[in-house]
Amino acid sequence: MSLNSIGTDNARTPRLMLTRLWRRVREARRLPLLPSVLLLVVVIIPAVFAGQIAPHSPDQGDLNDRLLPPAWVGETIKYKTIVEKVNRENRMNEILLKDAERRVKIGDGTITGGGQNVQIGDQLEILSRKAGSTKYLLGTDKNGMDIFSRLIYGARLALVVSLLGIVVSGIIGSSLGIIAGYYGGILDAIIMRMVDVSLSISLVLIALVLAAVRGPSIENVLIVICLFLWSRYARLIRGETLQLKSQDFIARAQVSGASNLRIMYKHIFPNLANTIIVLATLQIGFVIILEASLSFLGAGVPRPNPAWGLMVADGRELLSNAWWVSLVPTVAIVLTVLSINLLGDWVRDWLDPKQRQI
Amino acid sequence: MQRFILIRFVQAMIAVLVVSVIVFSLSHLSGDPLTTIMPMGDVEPEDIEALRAKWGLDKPLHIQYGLFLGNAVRGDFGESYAFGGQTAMGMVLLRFPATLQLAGAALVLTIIIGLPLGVITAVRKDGFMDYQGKAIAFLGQAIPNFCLGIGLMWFFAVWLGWLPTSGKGGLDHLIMPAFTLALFQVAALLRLTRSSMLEVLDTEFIKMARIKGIPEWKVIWKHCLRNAFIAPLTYFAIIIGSFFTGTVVVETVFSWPGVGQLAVNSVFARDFPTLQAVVILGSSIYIAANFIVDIMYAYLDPRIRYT
Repeated sequence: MSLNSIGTDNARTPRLMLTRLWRRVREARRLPLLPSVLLLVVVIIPAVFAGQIAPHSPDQGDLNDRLLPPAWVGETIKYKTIVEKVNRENRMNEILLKDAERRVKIGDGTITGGGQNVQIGDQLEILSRKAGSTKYLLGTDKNGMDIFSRLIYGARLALVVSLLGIVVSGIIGSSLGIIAGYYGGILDAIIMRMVDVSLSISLVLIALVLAAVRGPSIENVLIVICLFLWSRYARLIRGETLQLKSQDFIARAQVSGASNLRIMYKHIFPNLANTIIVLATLQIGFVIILEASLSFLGAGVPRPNPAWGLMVADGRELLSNAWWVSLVPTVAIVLTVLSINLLGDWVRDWLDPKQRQI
Repeated sequence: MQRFILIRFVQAMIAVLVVSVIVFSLSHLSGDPLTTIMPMGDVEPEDIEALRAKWGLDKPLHIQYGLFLGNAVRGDFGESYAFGGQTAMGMVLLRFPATLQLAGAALVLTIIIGLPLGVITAVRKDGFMDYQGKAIAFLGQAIPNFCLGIGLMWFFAVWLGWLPTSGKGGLDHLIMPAFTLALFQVAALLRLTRSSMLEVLDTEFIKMARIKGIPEWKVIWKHCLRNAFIAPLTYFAIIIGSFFTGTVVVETVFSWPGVGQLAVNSVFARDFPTLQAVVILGSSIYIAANFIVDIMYAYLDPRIRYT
């Protein structure tokens, strides 16, 4: 085979190359795991050591440093024409002679150059936004609070709230699920009807009522999570318990005189541990979204706590002037939830391959 | 079948009742509503007593609940605290068309994006499009809708300046909120359509249609989709139900003057009658949607009979 023929090899046609590349990507299906673990480490470690890592206080700001952009953003300079009367439509680009004179005289540092000639028709160079500095890596919000520090403390808040909610609702839901599946009968019927009701109620609306009554608080978020998440565990665990119950080892345990409580705790629960862990991991993303959404609506974590949802809400009105205030926490939420979900899928395939439908 | 419908119906009614009990008892946890709305000091005690008697606040709690429920069934949630003279129900009905418009637009978007994508990903199983579809499904269910809304708003309204940032107006105001509301359900519909298409593509009558020489596009879009459409069809009720609660967030992001925004505003104004009206109506729509789905599933798939 000559060198020339390689160039005409079929593998070089774009279509086939694409197919091959695609096969590679498919084979490396587990690939997303690495970035998502990395990202989670980047979120979790600072969250745990927030006090040591965060450069500033999460809820106290310096009012002199309001709305500073992130470190990599340079200063913004606006040119305004000095006029006698400001045109309504064009007021962003024009400045009154009187104002211009006053600002030049005071020398407040916002006039950067060519500011000495204050005549009508001249252009005035105005510093409309300072450059970002390494003091505030991701900029500051409208109260001068450091967004980077708030992000780190916010990660801690999100993780604590979601883990607490998942553990509590997991314990309640799994216990009720095992009881319903094991005893059956009227107890099962009552618990499962409660599950049905709980699944058909809208979380956000109840959370709003709770917030209106008690004011926004972290407890409210936990109450809402626990009130409604337990039913997902209960339904799944009940089904699994029903299957386990019909197996020989349960009958033998009963024959050997083990009490019901002991059977449920020592024989059924260990067999369900994997399922519970898988379901719990798959719920974390959902709970973080729920907490962030409630905080965004003002019905979750109260101000001035550094909740991610609150930070997004704070910056919503400032999107055109100071995009970083809400975009930085938005990106943090999306990346965290994405990586947690990827990790959850992976945990499911690893621990419980038969449960792909969860 | 009738027994099943009856049982499900009773369950749905119980769910609505539970919501009303939660809403009622929570509202009363907050203390005497009269002290929250009356300016302190300059009101005569007799006036307060008169108002208390007029609103039935002097009666025992269970009777108050009965009155509340009776009025609620008739659509009477009392007067709005925040907007004097307006009934709570009137406030909700005033805002309802805007929410309906948003939800309708989102539904149309969900169908015209989710359904074709579901079909294409099923036909090109394990192909390039299928992986794109999986990515969309994964992203759609992992991005919180307020994050998507803020991201879109920054990109299309602030950065590019193509669309208005927020508020209600022409069609251009509708695009971003509707898309934000729709994306999650696009992902869900895509997955449902894909799996149901895969099932139908594998059947004998599709092979038969191909053997007969019917053009492939006709086999897929007519013979196959028509049969695969049943499962996604039942899901539409869920989509509609979820839109009415999803609008709470989306309307807040885009300042869309609908029922969801009203709910959030009434939280801050502590306007309990309006909030009660929104929550009970919203929950009822959500529960009714769930009920309809259950019935449709049972009707279409006779194997499903729970009790």
